[in-house]
Amino acid sequence: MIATVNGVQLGVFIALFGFVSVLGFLAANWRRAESLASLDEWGLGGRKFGAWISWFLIGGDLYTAYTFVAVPALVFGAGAIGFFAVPYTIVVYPLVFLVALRMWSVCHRRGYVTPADFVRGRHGSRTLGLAIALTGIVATMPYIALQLVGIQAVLKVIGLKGHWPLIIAFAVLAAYTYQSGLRAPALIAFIKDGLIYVVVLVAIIYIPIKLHGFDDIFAAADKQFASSPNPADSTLLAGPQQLGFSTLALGSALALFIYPHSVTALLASRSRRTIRRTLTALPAYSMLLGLLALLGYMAIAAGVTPITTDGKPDVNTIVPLLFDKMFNDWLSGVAFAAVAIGALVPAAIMSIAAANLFTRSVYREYFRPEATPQEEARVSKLTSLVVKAGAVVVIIAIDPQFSIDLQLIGGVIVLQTLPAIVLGLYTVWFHRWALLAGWAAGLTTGLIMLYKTPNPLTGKEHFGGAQYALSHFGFDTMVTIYTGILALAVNLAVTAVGSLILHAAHAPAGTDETEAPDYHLESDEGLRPLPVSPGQEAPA
Amino acid sequence: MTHQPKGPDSGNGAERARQAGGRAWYLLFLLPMVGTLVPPIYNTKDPTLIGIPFFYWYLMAWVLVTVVLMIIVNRFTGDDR
Repeated sequence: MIATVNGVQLGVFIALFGFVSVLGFLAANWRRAESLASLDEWGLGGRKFGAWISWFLIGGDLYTAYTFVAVPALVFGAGAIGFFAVPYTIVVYPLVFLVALRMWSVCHRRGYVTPADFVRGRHGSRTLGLAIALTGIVATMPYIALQLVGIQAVLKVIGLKGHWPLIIAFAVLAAYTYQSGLRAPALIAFIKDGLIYVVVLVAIIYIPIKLHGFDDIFAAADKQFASSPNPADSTLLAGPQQLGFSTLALGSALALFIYPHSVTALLASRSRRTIRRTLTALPAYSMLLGLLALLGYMAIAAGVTPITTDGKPDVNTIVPLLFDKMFNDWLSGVAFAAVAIGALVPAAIMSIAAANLFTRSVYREYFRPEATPQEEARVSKLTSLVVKAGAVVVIIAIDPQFSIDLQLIGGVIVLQTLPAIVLGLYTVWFHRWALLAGWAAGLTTGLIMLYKTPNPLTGKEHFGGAQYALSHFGFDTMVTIYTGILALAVNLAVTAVGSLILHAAHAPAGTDETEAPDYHLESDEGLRPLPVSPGQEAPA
Repeated sequence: MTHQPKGPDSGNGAERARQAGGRAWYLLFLLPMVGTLVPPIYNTKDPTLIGIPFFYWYLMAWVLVTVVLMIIVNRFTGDDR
């Protein structure tokens, strides 16, 4: 079936991929500013996007190749647990709604470009800012690598062998991101989401008809899971899985909106009103995600078997394989391009976010406090190249089979920045040193728990997943809980107790450079952002 | 520099009063949390919908409910009312 390269598929794929690449370069002139040589312009697209652009940009940012490839793959392999993606992307919006508005206002008012900028300014601690920035960068790296896994799965099904197509795709991406900054993914997001919606709507109507309806599809999945050696896979949750399912959904939701790339897309909005409208309409993507997840069962019913590379089956190929089997060459070519382009948009935003973190919290804070906006933009552009090159190396050097676990590890890590960022939006009662101690404690326990988690299905002894067995604590049970939530609980406990102790000991609190009205700024109208950017005030 | 070592900052008194009426609407956000994060409510096969087990269509239906709830909260808490 896929022994050779399919010419039509490859032609459609290259045409669409080439088209968005050209768009990416042209985006530099879109809503043109006088100069792209500042982080506000290069890194945040001028901070002027309205509700439509924001909807496509944030949707294209949050619903990544992980959505299109790994979630159906998890449903294909493990059943109901993979559907955690739906409650995850439902509860995230009420949570974001509560904090995003304050975040946008204070960052707009004070010229913050990253969550770490805010943490430094709010808690008056550049060490805490550095900790948040480095955590964000480390957590974002595997997430970018995950996008490559999505592209790789498609390339495998088209029949392209070797690593060079992947390297070319990312080199092109790196070039236009360097050139156009956030404007590139914002413009490409329109094409990406348009293609994805078309492909999924066609798939969700056409494939079930061809497979004789959902009754037969779920019957095939039940039969498959009944005959598999894994006791946990089922089209319903096994009793001990339920807590793991809920905590994974909640923890992933909490992690999603403190990821640096989410904040980047959010800060590019024009006003609070824009964010409110955008957030209200964003769950439309969650419906799409639910439908996509069901493709995992359709792949079972259609008898899809994953492509084997180096003796290991690559489950991530099942969705492209399903398209390949069900659609004609033209439509499957479009579907493959949709997945690949779907990987480019978030990868671009993530690399921009990571680069901004480095520039603001490491480079300017520790090496060049007097850096001009032009210099900041230059450093960010170069860093975005380094970050993407790093992701390519990671994906070629590491077994990408369980890409979803890579992302889950990143989620555990990034969750540890929640207290400093989210609590900080509401109060400065939590002491900067306690926040730092909580961050360190959460990170340490999280990593230890991840290390102690084996994966019996793959034979891995360590880092086998982000579900921690409660039997580790001496309970006689099969129940597991999402590692990130446990680590966050440790983090919060240390932060709270530490703050009590430090206040009692009259430890010096940080100087909060923000003011209460900053958190309610509506838009630029009638109020210009402060001319002084953070870091240029007298040191705390 | 306003430095507030204790308590949340919620703006000045007038602002607090203005927003207090709208705040209760945020409680609606608890509904999707309870509705989707408590699997015993929905971890069953029946009733199916066009062959899709309850577990799946119930969770997807919550997407629509959440949109409606967000529209309501947005309308009644909007600073730009």
